Amino acid sequence: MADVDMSALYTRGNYFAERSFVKTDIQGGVTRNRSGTRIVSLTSDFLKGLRNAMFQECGPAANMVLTTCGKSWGRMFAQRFEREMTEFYGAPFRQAPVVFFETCLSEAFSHHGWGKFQIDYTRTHQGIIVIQIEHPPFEGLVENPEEPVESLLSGIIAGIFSHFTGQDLACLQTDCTQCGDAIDRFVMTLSSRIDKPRDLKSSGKGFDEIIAVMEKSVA
Amino acid sequence: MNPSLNKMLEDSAGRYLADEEKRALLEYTESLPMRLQVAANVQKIEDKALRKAVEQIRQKYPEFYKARPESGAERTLRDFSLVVRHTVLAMICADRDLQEDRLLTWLGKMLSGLNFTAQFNRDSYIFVRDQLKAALPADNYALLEPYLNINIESLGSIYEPQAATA
Repeated sequence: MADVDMSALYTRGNYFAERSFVKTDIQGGVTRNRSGTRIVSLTSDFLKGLRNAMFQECGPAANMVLTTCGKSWGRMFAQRFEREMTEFYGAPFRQAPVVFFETCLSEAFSHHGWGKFQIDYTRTHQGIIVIQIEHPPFEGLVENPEEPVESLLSGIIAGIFSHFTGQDLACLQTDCTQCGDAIDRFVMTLSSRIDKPRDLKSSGKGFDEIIAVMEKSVA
Repeated sequence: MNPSLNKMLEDSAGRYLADEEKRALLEYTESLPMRLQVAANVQKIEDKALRKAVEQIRQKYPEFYKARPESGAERTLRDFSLVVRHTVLAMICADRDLQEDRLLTWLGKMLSGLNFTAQFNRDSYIFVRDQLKAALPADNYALLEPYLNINIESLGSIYEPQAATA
């Protein structure tokens, strides 16, 4: 596919330009993005209520359920995101350079209010991607949690990257500001390799120990 | 369109425009023919002026282009063109936030990811500004200058990765 002309990617600006991205039909009560996809705002009340209900109904399984919901959401988001990017820029987004992909995804996160992320690709040869996110959705919403609170976002990230890599990936939050950590950080790897890191996290291990075990399991 | 006029029109809902508001509206509409003329003039000289700017940046950073023999200069020209076209649109709309919103934040992230340095960008868009200055009548350039400076400030202060090469 090397003969596909990707120069069109660079002939338009930012798809997510704030003043062009979202339009609301006040009379109809409908908000859409510039491609016509309907957007519904989720307020902090909604997120809090969703999380509370999940824990009331599902008990200890709530985090797993939220992650599964997030993963399904993330996959669908990625399909639409790919379609919208391809239409807008006039070139197949899946074949865009990594830096173009990452910039557009970062803008998508920022403009949907999901936080600001940074991706660390230095361990991709070991099948590990580390992602740090500032201001994730549940920031400040959960009081004194015993475990990381961004399980919905973990699922979304896994879903998005599963779509674009064609692999079944899983994502685990290793650091959580709500739990007292300095940052919100996630590790992502193949679903078949996530059980051990998840067990380590459950037993109270931190990022360095988890990542060391993950690296060793590949070496 | 022009954000301060938009805001003014929103704020005036339910009442008639004040004299000062009418004046602002007229001033902008009266300036539009000139703004469109500047845009047309930039369009005429864009390719030649930007090629000269590319040549200047190539001379200043020969190693950068040596490492990208295939398409480095063409890509620089493409980026310059994209930035200048957004600059011209911002000038037409008299909107000093337009470039940042529609292009510069996004482009700056990408340039950071490609290890461009802030200094490289600053030099690049100073050359672009100066080439347009040399090619346009003085009154045309005066209208465009504030918007060209926004490019220099924004892309000239991007986050720099440690492994910068430019």
